[in-house]
Amino acid sequence: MNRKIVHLSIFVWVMGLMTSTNVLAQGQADNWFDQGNQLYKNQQYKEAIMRWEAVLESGAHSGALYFNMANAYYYLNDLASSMYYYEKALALDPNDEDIKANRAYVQNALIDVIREQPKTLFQKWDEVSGQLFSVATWAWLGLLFMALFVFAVLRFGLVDSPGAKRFSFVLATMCLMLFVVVIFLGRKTEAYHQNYRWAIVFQQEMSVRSGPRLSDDALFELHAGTKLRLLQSQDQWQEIELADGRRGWVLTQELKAL
Amino acid sequence: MKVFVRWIIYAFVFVLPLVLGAQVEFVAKVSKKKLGLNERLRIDFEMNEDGDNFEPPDFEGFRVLGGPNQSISNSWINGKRSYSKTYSFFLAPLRKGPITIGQAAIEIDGERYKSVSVDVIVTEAVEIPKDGNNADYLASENVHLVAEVSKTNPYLNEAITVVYKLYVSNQVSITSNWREIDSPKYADFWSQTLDQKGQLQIYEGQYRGEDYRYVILRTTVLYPQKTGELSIEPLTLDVPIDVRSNRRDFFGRFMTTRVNKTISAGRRTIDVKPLPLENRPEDFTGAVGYFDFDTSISRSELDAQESLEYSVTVRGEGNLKLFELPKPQFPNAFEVYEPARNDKISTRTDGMRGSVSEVYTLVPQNQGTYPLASLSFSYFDPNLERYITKNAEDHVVNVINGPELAAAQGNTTGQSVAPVTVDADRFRYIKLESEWLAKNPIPWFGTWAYWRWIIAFLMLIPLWFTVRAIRERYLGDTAARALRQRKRLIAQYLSEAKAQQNNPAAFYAALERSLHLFLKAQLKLETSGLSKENISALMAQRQVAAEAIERLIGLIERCERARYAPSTAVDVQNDYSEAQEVISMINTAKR
Repeated sequence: MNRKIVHLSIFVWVMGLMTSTNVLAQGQADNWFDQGNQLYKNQQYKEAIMRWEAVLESGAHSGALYFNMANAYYYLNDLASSMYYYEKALALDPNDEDIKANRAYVQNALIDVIREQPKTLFQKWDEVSGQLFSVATWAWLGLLFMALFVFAVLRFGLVDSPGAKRFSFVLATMCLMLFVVVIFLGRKTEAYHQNYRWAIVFQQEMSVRSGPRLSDDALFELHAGTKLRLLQSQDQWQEIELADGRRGWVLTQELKAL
Repeated sequence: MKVFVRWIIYAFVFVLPLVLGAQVEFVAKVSKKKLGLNERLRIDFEMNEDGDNFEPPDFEGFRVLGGPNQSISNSWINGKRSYSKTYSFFLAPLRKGPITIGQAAIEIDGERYKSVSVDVIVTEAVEIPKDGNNADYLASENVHLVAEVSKTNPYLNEAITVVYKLYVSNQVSITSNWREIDSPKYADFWSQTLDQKGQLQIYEGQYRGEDYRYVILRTTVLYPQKTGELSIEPLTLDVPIDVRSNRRDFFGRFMTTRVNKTISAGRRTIDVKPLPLENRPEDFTGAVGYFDFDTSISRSELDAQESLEYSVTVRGEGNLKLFELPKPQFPNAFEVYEPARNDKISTRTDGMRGSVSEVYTLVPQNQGTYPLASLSFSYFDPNLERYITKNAEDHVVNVINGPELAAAQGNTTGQSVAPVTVDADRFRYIKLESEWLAKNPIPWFGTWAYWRWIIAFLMLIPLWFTVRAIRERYLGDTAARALRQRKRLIAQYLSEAKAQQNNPAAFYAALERSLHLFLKAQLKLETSGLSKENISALMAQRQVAAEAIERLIGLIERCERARYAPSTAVDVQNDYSEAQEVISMINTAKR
């Protein structure tokens, strides 16, 4: 009798933590979102974008919202903005087929073709682990495994039979190991997001230079809509890397970070 | 009054032409205006009517070597009379410096006319005295080749024109063709020479204040390609010049001598200004002049694998051949062919004009809407002295139908196949539902808040054990614990019997079953089928106290008796407490 109460209370506590996420004022966001959708239907793309911007300003976002904005920008022939929002949408919903299909239209209309370099196994692992879950999800998982560990330890102390004790011990050990792994992956994801920051070229045409000075050689040209990775920066200069491994410096104002 | 006005009108209409027609000229001509101290000067006083009482000037500063020599020429050509009478003097200067030859006077038809005084400059003695009548000297004095440059300090790439003019005075003539010895070289210029075609046209003009005839030999349009001082190499001609000599032939005509003379238009230096650096647009490729810029597409709606043409055109005046047209960039889904260049340029004396265009053939590979990046073109306007940028309008190509799969597969040359194949059916519609997320979630992984939660969980373990320890202490010593346990056992096994206390038969049946169950559970003994002797022996083996065994056996016996002889007087209450005691005794012994 006593034991059941203890188990139940721990469970309730953990569940309470899990569900106490930030609940947004959804009504207003939905309202604006729907208005924007209606305007999009009437081909008033600029007005639709303004409504959706209002949702963003209210502090909410979603893959669907970014996807819709990207579509509207595509119809406005603003390829750079369109690409920007498709990438933002994909960051939130990495496996959405609609986003990928429409992004292909924009990619075809872009000037630059960047062929991806084959990745090493380490890079692949880095990418997979970095994109598996968001940092917040890892945080909750860590908390969950820690709760399970505590539960298992307490159960170990409570039960009498050797079988139950063994089970509790194994559970506790596993949970502790998983907790360590989750914290490690969470740190890795955090580092991935810090290291892999992306940007879209917004300048119609820009030169990539060998160093952060106008006097440095122009290595190659990039055009609007191209996605690139941000490395280090100095003053108003930003070092960038393309998917094919080329690197160089550009002016920060010519980019828009995702 | 009226009559008077009429007379005035008559006078203008009839008398004035007579007066004009009979105008008398009396001029003084010198063979040269500048001479060395050891040279000679010839002066002619010429009149077109016969005059008398010629009165020469006093020739102050000169010594008269000869003269006056009088000559008269009178000729009728096509019924028109031309007459001239000349008094000539040969003079030798006596001093250096400017000397004015005074006025001579003549009386013609009773009127006295005076010539205009002439200024000559006498310089140092020259090495070779120039004979005023020497053919060579006359030739060199009377034929000049001049290079006229339209602008001597142009901007880089600004058109300038060099016009070569051959001036010939009235005293000499050129009757046969000249030969070009040295053509001008225009290093550091882009040049185009516009040669005069056919018969040279003869113009009247002035050269250093004197009347000359001239021809334009050639016009060259130059575009400087370098800044700084650039020199134009001279044009040198070998010209046969006919010079009138003093000798006359049999018929009294002057004989002419042909002199071959090498004349050259002096070297000219042009100072080319660089184009200003400030405000120079990034897309400036060196165009200087006045231009219009335009791009166009042959069609804006088509299917994939069809072709369209995109043309970039610059038209206007300026260095059209000398700059590059802006290069457009096309979406990567377009197959782009090398542009065809189309120049329509004509060169005039003031520079090139016309249009240059490049036509790109494009073949879209996939459906979609393709905005083509707008192009801009910058040039430098040398008149406004600033850069001007012109933007062409944007174009959007709408590729309606996607590629046919069969065609795409059959054509496997695939050099510039688009890297991304689009979803063949459609551009997907927007999403109408959305799950909202916080745009800027408060970070808490790895923060102190997060680790506090982890620690809070971990703290539960010691907390739990502490609470349990306190509880144990509170619950007291082992005797009380044993008592509590016994009570629990009794409650567990005798609950049924207790419930049947008012029905002795059921009570004893339950009690007996309970006792057997108890023995089975506590001592791991299967006793229900055993005799009382066996039970006591087995219990003795498990070191149960003899008294407890005895009392248990007694109790079991009473139970059996009560079962088989229900009428027998029984003490239910007593037996229940006896069972309680026995159970607790055996339980204690077991420990």
